[in-house]
Amino acid sequence: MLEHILRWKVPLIILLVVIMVGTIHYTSSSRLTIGLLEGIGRDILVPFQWAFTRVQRFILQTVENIHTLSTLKERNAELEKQVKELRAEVLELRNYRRENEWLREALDFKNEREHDLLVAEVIGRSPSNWESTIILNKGFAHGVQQGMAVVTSEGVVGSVISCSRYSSTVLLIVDAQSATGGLVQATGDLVLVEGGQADRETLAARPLSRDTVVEVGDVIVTSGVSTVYPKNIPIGEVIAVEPRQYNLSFTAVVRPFVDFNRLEYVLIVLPQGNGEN
Amino acid sequence: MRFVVCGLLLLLALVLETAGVPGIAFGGVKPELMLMLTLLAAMIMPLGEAVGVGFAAGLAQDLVVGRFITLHAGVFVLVALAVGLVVQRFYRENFLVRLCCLLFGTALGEVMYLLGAASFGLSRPWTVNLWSRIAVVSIVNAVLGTLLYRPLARLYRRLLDHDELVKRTG
Repeated sequence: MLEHILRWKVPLIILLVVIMVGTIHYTSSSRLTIGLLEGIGRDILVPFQWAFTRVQRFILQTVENIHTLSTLKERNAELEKQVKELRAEVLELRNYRRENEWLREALDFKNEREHDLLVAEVIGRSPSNWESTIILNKGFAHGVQQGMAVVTSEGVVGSVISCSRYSSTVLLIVDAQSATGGLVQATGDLVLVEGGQADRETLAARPLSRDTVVEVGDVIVTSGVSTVYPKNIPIGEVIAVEPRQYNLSFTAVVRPFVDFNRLEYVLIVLPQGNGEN
Repeated sequence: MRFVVCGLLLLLALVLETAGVPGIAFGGVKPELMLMLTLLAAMIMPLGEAVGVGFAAGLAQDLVVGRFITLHAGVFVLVALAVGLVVQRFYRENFLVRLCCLLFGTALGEVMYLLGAASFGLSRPWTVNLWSRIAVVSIVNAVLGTLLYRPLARLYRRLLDHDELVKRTG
């Protein structure tokens, strides 16, 4: 019996290796759908991840509250001052809004919104140190599909790379596999914003034309050229411009507006009429 | 029974790794719990069982990551094999042997994963920053793993006794 098994051992190992290499190759590029086993596995993890995230958040919040208790009085005074300033700003903005509405009416401007937004909670992150992904508690049961953009009020977060019924995985823009079409807000020049920087906290913006001008302090927004991200969503601010070999081109180092370590809730951009607001 | 407990430990590690541990990352690097459990299994369990644990841990991680599925599984199997063969030659109860196995086992696993990903199109520049990340993960895993070795070894022995008892009494 043992000899019989041993005789089949080597061909079995070879077959297993071939299957594994094939699976790695098949899953190395983006896929429209995920496998049944993958989907079930991820959906089983969702309640556990949700519960652990909540517990962790509660503990961190409590520790932070205790820490900030001593500076509460100063903070309160500062916030009261801010409230006064913001009230004045709100009044001013209301006037602008009214003026905007009159002008729009006068110009017969159509107030069309191209996208719906779906709020999702971050319930997990990539288990590996080498992937920059987050797991959201919304899946295709909520209308989420592969390729949808994920943003926050601060800016671009990433795009959905796969989703199961009740969860979805988002590839962050700082990941090595991420590339986003960007635009220098000041000049309108197109750049390609790539992740995979060594510090995993910044992005690299590469110019798409020879005449592109980028300076420190410039804001990079989405270009809207690709079908993934809507136009004019902030990506980050240029903090350094490094010349490349022989000074023929350059790479701009961009610090994203979004703090990826503190993400709790995000917005998934759905095509209009596809989701809850 | 020991396989059920092993499965539950892997599930707990996976949930902690995806949901709990990011909050306690060390300098932006978090411990690789699934790899650490594989290494501990290679030091505590017989080689065949450790390889099985490595495959299950790697596959579970692959299914969550959703990229290069079975790469982690393959890497964990090879790491479990390597460490399992090493501890057969050395005295595994020695503190230094355990520490070195966890340290170099983690580093080996990380390097093999990065090389595997690179050969399928996701290459990263092998900069000082990358090597220092590998070093930090290895140190964190070695320290945590050394602390967890004794309780897990004791648990495994108890489960082994329990399984033997169940087998004999039917």
